[in-house]
Amino acid sequence: MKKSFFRFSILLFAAPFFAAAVTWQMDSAPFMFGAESVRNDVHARTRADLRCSANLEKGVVIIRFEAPAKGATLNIYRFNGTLAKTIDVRPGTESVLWDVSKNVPAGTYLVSLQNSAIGKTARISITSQRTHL
Amino acid sequence: MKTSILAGFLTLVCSSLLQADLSSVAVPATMLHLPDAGAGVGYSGKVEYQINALDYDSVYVTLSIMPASGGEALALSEISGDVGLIRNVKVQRTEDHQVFFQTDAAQTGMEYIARVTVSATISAAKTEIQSYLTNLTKQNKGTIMGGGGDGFEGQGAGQAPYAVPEIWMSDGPHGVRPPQGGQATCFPTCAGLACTWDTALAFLQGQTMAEEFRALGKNCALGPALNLVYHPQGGRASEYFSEDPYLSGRMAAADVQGIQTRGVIATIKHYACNNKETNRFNLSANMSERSLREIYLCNWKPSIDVGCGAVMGAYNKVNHSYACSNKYLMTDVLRDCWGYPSMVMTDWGARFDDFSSGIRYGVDIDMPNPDSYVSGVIAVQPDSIVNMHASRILYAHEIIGDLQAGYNRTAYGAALMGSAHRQVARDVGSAGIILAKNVGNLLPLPKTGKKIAILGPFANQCRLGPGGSSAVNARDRVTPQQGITALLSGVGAGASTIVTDISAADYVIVFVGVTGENEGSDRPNLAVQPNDGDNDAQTALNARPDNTIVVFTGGSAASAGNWSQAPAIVIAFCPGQEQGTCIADVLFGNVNPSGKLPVTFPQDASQAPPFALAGADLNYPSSDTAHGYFSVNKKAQAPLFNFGHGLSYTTFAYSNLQIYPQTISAGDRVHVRATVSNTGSVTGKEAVQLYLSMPSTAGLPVRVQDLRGFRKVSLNPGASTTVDFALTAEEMQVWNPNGADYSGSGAWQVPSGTYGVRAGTSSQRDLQPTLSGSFAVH
Repeated sequence: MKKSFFRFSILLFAAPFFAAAVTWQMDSAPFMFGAESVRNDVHARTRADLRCSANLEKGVVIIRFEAPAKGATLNIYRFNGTLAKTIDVRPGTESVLWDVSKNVPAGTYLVSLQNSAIGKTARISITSQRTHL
Repeated sequence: MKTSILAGFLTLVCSSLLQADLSSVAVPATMLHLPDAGAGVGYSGKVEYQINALDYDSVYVTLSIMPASGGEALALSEISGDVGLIRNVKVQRTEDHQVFFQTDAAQTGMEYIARVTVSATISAAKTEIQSYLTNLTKQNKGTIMGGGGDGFEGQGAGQAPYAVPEIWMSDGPHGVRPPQGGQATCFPTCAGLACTWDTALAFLQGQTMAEEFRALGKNCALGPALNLVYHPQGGRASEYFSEDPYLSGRMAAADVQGIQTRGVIATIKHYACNNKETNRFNLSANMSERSLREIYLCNWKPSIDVGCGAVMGAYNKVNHSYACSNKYLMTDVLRDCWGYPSMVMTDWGARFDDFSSGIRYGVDIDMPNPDSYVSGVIAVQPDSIVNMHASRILYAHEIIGDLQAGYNRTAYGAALMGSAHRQVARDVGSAGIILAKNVGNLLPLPKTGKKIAILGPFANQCRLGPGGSSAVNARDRVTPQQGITALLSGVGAGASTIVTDISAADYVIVFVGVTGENEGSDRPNLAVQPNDGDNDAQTALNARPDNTIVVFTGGSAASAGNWSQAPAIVIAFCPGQEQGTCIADVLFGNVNPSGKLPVTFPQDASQAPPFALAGADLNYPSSDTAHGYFSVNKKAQAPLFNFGHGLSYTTFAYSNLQIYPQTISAGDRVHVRATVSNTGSVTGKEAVQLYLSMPSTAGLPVRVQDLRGFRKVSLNPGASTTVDFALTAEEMQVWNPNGADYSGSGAWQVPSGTYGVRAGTSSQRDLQPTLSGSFAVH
């Protein structure tokens, strides 16, 4: 019986280690203790206007953004700074797919959308361990 | 097996797009606070984050507070809220979450950032469920939605490796009642357990009881029973924890957690508003949506939050719709608001408004019928509906792990009715005995040199609880007379003796009680009847007016009578099979009583809510009046004994109430701290109670006070300790029906204004010790 409960505990509390997992991380705007000292808006809020969503079973990451008025470049960097992928973004486009089904090792990636007018960066971590399913 | 599971799973999930992202992280400036040493609070704050369109069922969240300039994260002394594993995340919607933190490592004037990390996955459990859904036939799925076997089994179906085993159910809430007969340890009823005001004991009792379920081959406990005690005459009042939703909810959640640690599915029942047994198959419990949300439903949510595996739908209607097919209860609240992912079963033979709505909104297993629900489902329902129900049943299987090879349903055989279990029954039973009155410190009784007479019809009865599904056939039973005799026999030379002639006695103990508590019928009387000990109490008071001790036995409260005139009163709410020992230990001071009442004892019927035994429906008072202490507080009535009342053989003092911050924004939390000291001469336990008085808002009259926290502490003579409470927005909110009542358009709201805070020894606001203060929400 203990084995059964242990197994369930693992399922619930360590499930990310037994299945395809995806990780997002985001920082708030800087703040100080004491309300009057908070920078930016009153909620010190960081909003993502460049978002990465993963469908690991399909092997794709969906990258969404506010459509640029003119063309832009989406660079995806590995955590060590080397370039992993470049995707051209046409004017008016709101999302692109990044195929991670092959030759994309697990790890943290920085996604950067840039043209002469905009520069946005998001971070996404991918842990694909489907063999553990 | 593994390969086929993976293949099946990928086939299914690839048909839908899984998406998730973390879209904002915010630190509300108004909820950042500097340290307050007096309140025991360090630098503190709240972080809000938002997750969009989250399809994953397993989401793990961490929070770090870091210097903005870089460097190591601060050590957090406290972190709470939506952090760690977030269960039951709903799909296809934006979710706002919040985390509260405290740290002593910050510095004033430095900039920090809050870093939220969200890791999402599809759990192995969900993966396996999907595999089963792929491989089971529609007939298989329909089959597991019915009862079978001896009338207490959820049916099994399918072929290996996708065979779904039966769910082996058994009553009841305070011990096993095997359908084929058999004996087990009888623990205190839920009411008796609630008298302890100790969640650790609730956990322990649940865990111990679950070992007996496994020992008897059962892996689904049909309990705990979680309705509120609306009226003392309710036939199942003693099966329920309390009249108060906060106490009920926390005690039940601990019980549920304990049960499920032993691989047994806990079943909270009877959802919802099963407060009257007379005409229970037809009556409608009618109340406002506000009453439902603030009182009669919110006691269920803590058990849902801790992952309870099963819910049992009630027999009755709620606002004219049968509970088992009630869209508002089963879908809008249970599934959509609370995100409950596991199975719902009917009470045995419960009715639906109609079969279609029962399937669409209601239960997943129709007990105990083997085929009526099954055939109905298969005949008319699409695959999506069948899969929905089957997946919830499979989720319950995942909780106990019995889909895995090697699962041993029968375990803990050696523990059944063993000495360890008897000890737990005794410990919990003793902790729930209540000293309600003790004029002149009549108790504890001397163990030597006195003559003691014992009267009353219940002196030789071990009162285990009501009849019906909660009746446990205990092998070992200790009656009060046996317990007293055994205690005194162990004293040795000069021990006090038991005499039959009360005129020769120094003390008279009278065992009185209430009767007629049963599943299916209500108590006919609120008062203790003459033949149930009230006449004996009068006889004893006539003979020994200053030395009469009344022990009240039964499952719930009674009104005043001769019995309540006694100078010393002990209350024992069905404290289990060891009750004779428990009561004797308290009477003679081996155990210092620490129980507190989970219900109000009214002076008379005028202090209880409407409860006509005849009549089709039960119409509840408004939410600001409700029942129990809510009602007597609102009407400024002085009951016989207040909710939360309970004395000790020692004395306690409260001091140094700290409330921080004094002013907050809606959504922030408030820390309350008080010092408790044992000012007497013996070790004792005190259940410190925190009550909140809401500000009155236009159009939303509020109750006088609501229990919002409790802590049980043990103190040696002269010792002190500090108890801390954190009041969250959830504990400050009212349900604003926003127009038409019961429209489903209402919302929770934290009203602006001044909130009264009181840490006290009972709900009686002027009973010492008590400390009061306030804070404001703007």
